[in-house]
Amino acid sequence: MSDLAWFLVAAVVKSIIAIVALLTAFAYMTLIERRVIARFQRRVGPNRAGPFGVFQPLADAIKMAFKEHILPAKASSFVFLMAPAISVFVALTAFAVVPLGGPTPWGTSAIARAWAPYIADLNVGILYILSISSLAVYGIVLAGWSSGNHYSLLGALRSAAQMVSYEVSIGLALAGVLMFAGTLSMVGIVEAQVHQGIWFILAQPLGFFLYAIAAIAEVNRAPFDLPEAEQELVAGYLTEFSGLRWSLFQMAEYINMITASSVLATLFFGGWTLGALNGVLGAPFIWYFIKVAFFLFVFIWLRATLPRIRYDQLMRFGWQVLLPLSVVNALVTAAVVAFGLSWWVSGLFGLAVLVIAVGVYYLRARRRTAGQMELARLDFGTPNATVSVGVALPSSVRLVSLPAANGAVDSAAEKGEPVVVG
Amino acid sequence: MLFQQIAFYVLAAVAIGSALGVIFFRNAVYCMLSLILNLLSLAFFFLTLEALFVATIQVLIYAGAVMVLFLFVVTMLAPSSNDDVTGRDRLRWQWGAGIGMGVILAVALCYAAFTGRLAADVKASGAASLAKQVASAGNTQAFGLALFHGYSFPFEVTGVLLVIAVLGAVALGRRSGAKE
Amino acid sequence: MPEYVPALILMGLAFLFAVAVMLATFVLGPKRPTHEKLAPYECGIEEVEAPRQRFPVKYLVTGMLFIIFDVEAASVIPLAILMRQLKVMGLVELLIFAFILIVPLVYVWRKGAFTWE
Repeated sequence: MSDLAWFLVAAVVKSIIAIVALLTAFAYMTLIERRVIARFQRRVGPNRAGPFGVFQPLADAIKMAFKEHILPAKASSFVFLMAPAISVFVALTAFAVVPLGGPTPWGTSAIARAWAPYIADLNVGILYILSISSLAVYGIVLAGWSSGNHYSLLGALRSAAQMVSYEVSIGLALAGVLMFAGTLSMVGIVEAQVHQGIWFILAQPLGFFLYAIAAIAEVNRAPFDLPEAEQELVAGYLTEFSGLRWSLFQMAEYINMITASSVLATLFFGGWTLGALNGVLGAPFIWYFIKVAFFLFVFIWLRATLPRIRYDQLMRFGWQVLLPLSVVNALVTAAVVAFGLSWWVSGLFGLAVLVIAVGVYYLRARRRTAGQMELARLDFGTPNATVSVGVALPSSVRLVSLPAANGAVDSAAEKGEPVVVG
Repeated sequence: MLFQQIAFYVLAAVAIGSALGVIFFRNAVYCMLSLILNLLSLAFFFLTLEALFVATIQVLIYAGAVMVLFLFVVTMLAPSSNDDVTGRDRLRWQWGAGIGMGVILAVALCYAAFTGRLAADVKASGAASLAKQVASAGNTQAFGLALFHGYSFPFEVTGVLLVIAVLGAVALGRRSGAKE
Repeated sequence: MPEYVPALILMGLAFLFAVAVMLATFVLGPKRPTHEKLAPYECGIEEVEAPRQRFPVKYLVTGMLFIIFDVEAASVIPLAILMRQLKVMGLVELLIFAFILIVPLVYVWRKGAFTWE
């Protein structure tokens, strides 16, 4: 066979492997997520289907496939059917440029290069991922619009405004890394890190956090999952979908998570490399998987820990915190690169901004809490329970969280006496 | 190359068909969908010309731009008539203007293409050296160098244009807000 | 062979997969539609009004601001990868461009476009 034929065969086989691998990863991510969240909540999680519940995804898939697929009477049927397909198509396509290893793990001949562990090493690399995932919003928006349901449409609208608001910061947050890398190619960015001897997280701590936050908002994960907020919108754009059509949206969400984790690992953590251990055969894949798995765990961790933020907070945070910080980060990094300064200058700057940001947030949160305590004293003060600071609070207020204190306050409240805690 | 010719005709059919869809669909969201299809087919045109960077930017920018059209539909258009774009009668005079502009554009393009003016312009603007740059430094780099070395003044002026657009957006939002 | 062809192949296969699953949803599963089942979800009550009514124009303003800043971000990226080559000249161009766009950001901020009730 000619080189061209080999090239095409390799591309087809690698694409099929990528799709199958992503679907499997999605299936097991749902299981892992349910188990991990269960642990966070002191439950056990699904463990009946097979040892540790390993057959749970299979059982779910079969159940989903044989559910009734409802097409609501008020829905615009063509768009309604197209929306889940768009979502999953976009999610799968965006993965094309993610490298699981370098260009020559099997040797340097043309055929060996055709089998390199990524589907394409495009010159526009990361920009390809950004542009394809900017289409992801259409799956959600069209789903919500076509359902003919109040909640769905509201979810769609929220999603449109949210995703576009955070997309702006993504491009600017990545600009810093790209200045250091000098290329958009994903493989090129990893090679630049090897060449310069650092992971770009060291040079771009601020850019890392900005991108990570914006990426969570882009994939609509907690605490930014407003388009599907179940307490307010039932399930937002998902409300009218059932069976496999519903699971296609889930699939898209998890695959987008995997792609976002891959981008974090590749741009900031050296992708498939790890210093001296690069040469070991098979090691590149292992490092890549460990890094991606770590970020996926962080996604789950955040969902278990953080409450969903309010819509006005979401919009304000995106435009008034993320965007200005991204611009500042890009400008400072540009200065560092243009004057040929060392990487640690922008690294220190990023750390300083992060420390200041956390400090400001902490102080404001403290002031707000103090204000609320003041309010509580003025408005809701009851003579029943008085704590030592002199603030009277209803006995249910969580500030008094020590079990002993709780007991004391409760019993005192029953008797109608003031109580001193401390 | 045969493959490229086939790709061109298929893409041309999709592009023209979807462009007609934008005009003739009565439901504004279907118009929006046709517009996306149209813009994506243009991106594929850029791909067949090996202009990877331009194709990517085309998707990135216009995907967002069309999203705004959706927001326009749900925030501005009359809801009761199922999003139909009504009031065609009032806009009848635009048909003449639109067709007139279209004819002028088509004639100008045909003139430029058939007399060889287009090819001459491309040569004069240094397309050959640009192709060399793309081959040596890569798509994005060549684009960036052209933009920031040769055409940095137009680039900054574009920035000013965007400022004006911001003012327009805010003014639009405020006026509509005041009415309600 | 252009470098992007494998990505197109993945695109094609992903498209086939998505269409195949959507077609499968017509074959699989029971089909027992009832009037109530097909009605839009409304917490169990009858729908009072159709959902497609006008929404606050604020969403549209957000979208328009997005395009503007997205164009900015997209222009900064090719400049970013050339920063090492262009050196101080690149920095100056970026500073001018950033200044031109920070001014409207501050303006829009002051006008309250980012404040939602």
